[in-house]
This record gives sequence, C-alpha cells and structure tokens, in this order.
Amino acid sequence: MSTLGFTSGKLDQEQTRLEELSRALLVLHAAQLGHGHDLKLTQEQVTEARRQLLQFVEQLADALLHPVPPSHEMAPVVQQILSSNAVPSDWSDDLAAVAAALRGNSPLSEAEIALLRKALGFIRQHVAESLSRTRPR
Amino acid sequence: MPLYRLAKAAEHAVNIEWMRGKLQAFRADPTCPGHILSRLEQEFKKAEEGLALLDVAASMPGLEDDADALSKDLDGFFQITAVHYVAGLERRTALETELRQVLINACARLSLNWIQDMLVRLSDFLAIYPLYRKGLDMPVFYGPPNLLESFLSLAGIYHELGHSVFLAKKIFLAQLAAEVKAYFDGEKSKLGPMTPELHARRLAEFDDAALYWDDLRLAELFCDLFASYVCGPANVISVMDLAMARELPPTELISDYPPNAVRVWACHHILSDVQKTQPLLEEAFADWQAYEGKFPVTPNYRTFCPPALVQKLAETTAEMIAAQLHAPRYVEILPSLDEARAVAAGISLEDLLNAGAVVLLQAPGEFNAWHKAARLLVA
Repeated sequence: MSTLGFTSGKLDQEQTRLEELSRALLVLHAAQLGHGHDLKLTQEQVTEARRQLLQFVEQLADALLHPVPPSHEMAPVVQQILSSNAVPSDWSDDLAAVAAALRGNSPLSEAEIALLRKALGFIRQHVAESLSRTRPR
Repeated sequence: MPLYRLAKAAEHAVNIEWMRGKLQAFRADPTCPGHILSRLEQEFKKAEEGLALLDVAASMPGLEDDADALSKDLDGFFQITAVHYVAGLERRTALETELRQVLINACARLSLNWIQDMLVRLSDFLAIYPLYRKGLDMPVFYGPPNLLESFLSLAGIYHELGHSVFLAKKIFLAQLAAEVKAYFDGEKSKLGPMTPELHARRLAEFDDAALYWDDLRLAELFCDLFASYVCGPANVISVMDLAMARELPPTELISDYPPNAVRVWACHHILSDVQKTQPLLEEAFADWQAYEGKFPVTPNYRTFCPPALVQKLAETTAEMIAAQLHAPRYVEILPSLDEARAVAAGISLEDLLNAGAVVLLQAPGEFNAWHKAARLLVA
C-alpha cells in the first residue's frame, strides 16, 4: 500500500490545471504581441484564454482575502505569497488591476503578465514537489 | 537558456515520434483495451498540438517564458503517460489481463460506474494511479507479482479503489475535514479554568491535533473504511495483518497514514453488530487487542486520535458512502469452514476473500491446497 493514490490524484488535478492556465497565458500574450497569426490562434481561443485567466485571478484574489484550507486549489499560491516578503494587499491590488483589464478586454502590461506567470510558477513549484514524492529521481 | 529551450523542443519531437509509434502498434493489436487506447490518442493529439505551438513560440521574441512553461508541461505529459500507460499496455501478462477483468467486474458490482477500463500491473507495491488527465475512467492498479499469493493483503484492493471513490466526490474530504475542525473546536470550548499558560498550551495542542488530520490521512482512513464497507470482515482481518506484520507500535503517529490502531479500530467499528459478534471475528479481534496491548501508548496519541473523533470519522464515512454511492454494503457474516471449503467458480472476490480468511484462521494447514483451488475462481 502506498500513498500514490492520493498524491498522484492531487498531482493530476494541479498539473492539468497548470497546463490549461499556462496555455491560456501563452495564447493571450502571443495575441497581444501580434504573434496570433504565426501561432494560428483564433479569436475564440483568445477569448477563452482571457476567461480562464480571469477565473484564476478572481479565485486567487478571493483566497488571499479569506483563509483557505490546505486542500484548496489556491493554497499553494497563497502559502507562497504569505511566506514571501510580499505584502498580501499589494498582491490583491495588482490582481484587481489584472482582473479589471481582463474583464474590460484591455491588454495586460508586461508587469501584469509577469505577475500571472509568478503565480503560476508557485503552482508549478508545488507540482514539482509533489512529483518528487512519486518518483525515485 | 535558448540552447536548452531548443534542445528540449528537439527532445520532445523525438518523444512525440516514439509515442506515435507506440499508439499505432497498440491500435494494430486487437487485444489492446480500446477505451484506454482512445483516451491516450486524444491526449496525444493535444501533446502534438502543444509541440507545434512550442516550436513556433520558442523562436518568437517575448514568448520565451511562455514557451518554457509549455515545454515543462509536455515533459509532465510524457513522463506520466509513458510510465503508467505505455509501459502498462506494452507488458500485459496473462495474469494481469485476467485480474484486470476481475477488478473491472468488481467495479461494476460496486457501482463505480465512472471506471470504464483499467490496467493492472503486477510490478510494484499495492497502489493505484486513479486519475489521468482529469479522468477517473481508466486507473492503473499496481500490485506485487505475488499479489494473489499474499492473500491477507488482497482486501487492500478495495482500499486502492477507495482512492478513486475519494476523488470522485469532493464532499468526502470536505465533510471529514469539517468533522475534524468541529471536534477540536468543541474540545477547545470545553476547556475549564486553568492558568493562562496551560490554557494556551492546550489550545496549541488541539491546533496541532487538527493539523495532524491532513488531507492525506483523511484520504487513507476513508479508503480503509470504504474497503470495510464493501468487503466486510475480510478487510478487518487484512488491516490487522497490515498492522501486525511489522513491529510498529500500533499507536505510533506515522507519516502519511493514521496510526494502525486507528485503522484497525475504525474498520472494525463500521461492521454490523452481527458481523462483529461472530465468534471467529471476535477471537481474531481479541488477538489484535492482545497484540496492541503489548505496546505502550505513544505520546500525543490520545490528543491526536481521541476515540470520539475516530468514531465520528468512521461513522460519517459510512454514512457518506451510503448516501453518495450505490455501492452495496457487505453485510454477510464470515462463512462456516465447510462453506469456505466449498467455494465454487463464479464467486465474487469479496466472498472469496471472506472465505479464504476463514480457512486461514480455522484451518491454516488446509490453506495451501484451498488457495491453489480457489485462486482464480472469481467472477
């Protein structure tokens, strides 16, 4: 008997969510930089990417305002933010700005793209830690 | 970094070609499980699209970081798919194929309808890979090569299936976590008059105890209880074996799992009174209690695992399984020795495990012959 059942289940949930969000960020960023044609992106893909990222930003902003249990999908991001030197209210303000831009179909600044990438990086770090529990190397 | 980025993209391209070849070979094999293959083909198509995107994005100014993220995601896809599924489809032994059907039948009997197919791999410790790319439809079940010979471990199959159940409905974890919180909040509110220092210490102990019951331990306890719910006394005997086969103090607060004392007690607790009061099970349970009594209680055990909490978690789990699933509860008592000796083809795995437990406990000298005859009778 091993903990593979639990750890791999959590891992799959995090990994597939991360993939979707990373892909959405790529799509939105590429479209903003004018690379949409090169990547054969459709307007529907860009709209969907915006929707996915907005949902993520709203969930994260909410999780920063209210304590979340360790099982919450935003817990790895919240924990990293709280354990860093960052001020949570700064994160909340920045996320509110990103959410407003996404809602208003406005382009995100490179700083806002970097903020999203940082948040996704926290999830990626957590995925890597979970992976190391299920693999010998 | 650009060197690594391009090198990694080239490596991904080779992996794509490798996986395409494997999937084509599986498609040409009529014995290859169709549902699993179709799902792998769907996911492979997404990986191909991801690589095409990566190839373009990697050379676009400003998208380097996005390309790197995509590359890491492809890595994750290849590793998981190759290790669990490609390897599993490639090396299917006759016994694994036979056991796969037994487990698929068990899932149908237990109304785990979301499981459409399964791979069985007898190459590792008892475990399950329950969720693949958001789908619970095709778990990979792992067991040691001598799984069928390790008869007392066999009820652990239901523990592993329990992981799929636990993931299928979020309410299981949410409700168990809520019970833990409610219990320790209640204990805090009941604290009587004491010095501020002692009061603070007691509060901190309760906080630590609540944290001890993390998602992983709650999941493992749920799976134990699911196994008891659907397999009855045989699972209790199996969990006793799990605890007694190692010289670990039963109340030891081990990592990842609840203490063995909790696991055995909870699995036994949710049996019916009729099951619990069968003389054979009473005797076996007394054996366990005598074993348990040989060890001192580990410090913190009583605070972290109070009987009232464990009872609440066990009963809540049984109630949730009854309310949320259509899985039939195993209500049979252990068969008589004569009935156990007479098991015949078509018997369910649950009945077979209970019969085998009786032979092991009452006529261990007959078990080898019984096992040889009973090994593959299951439907």
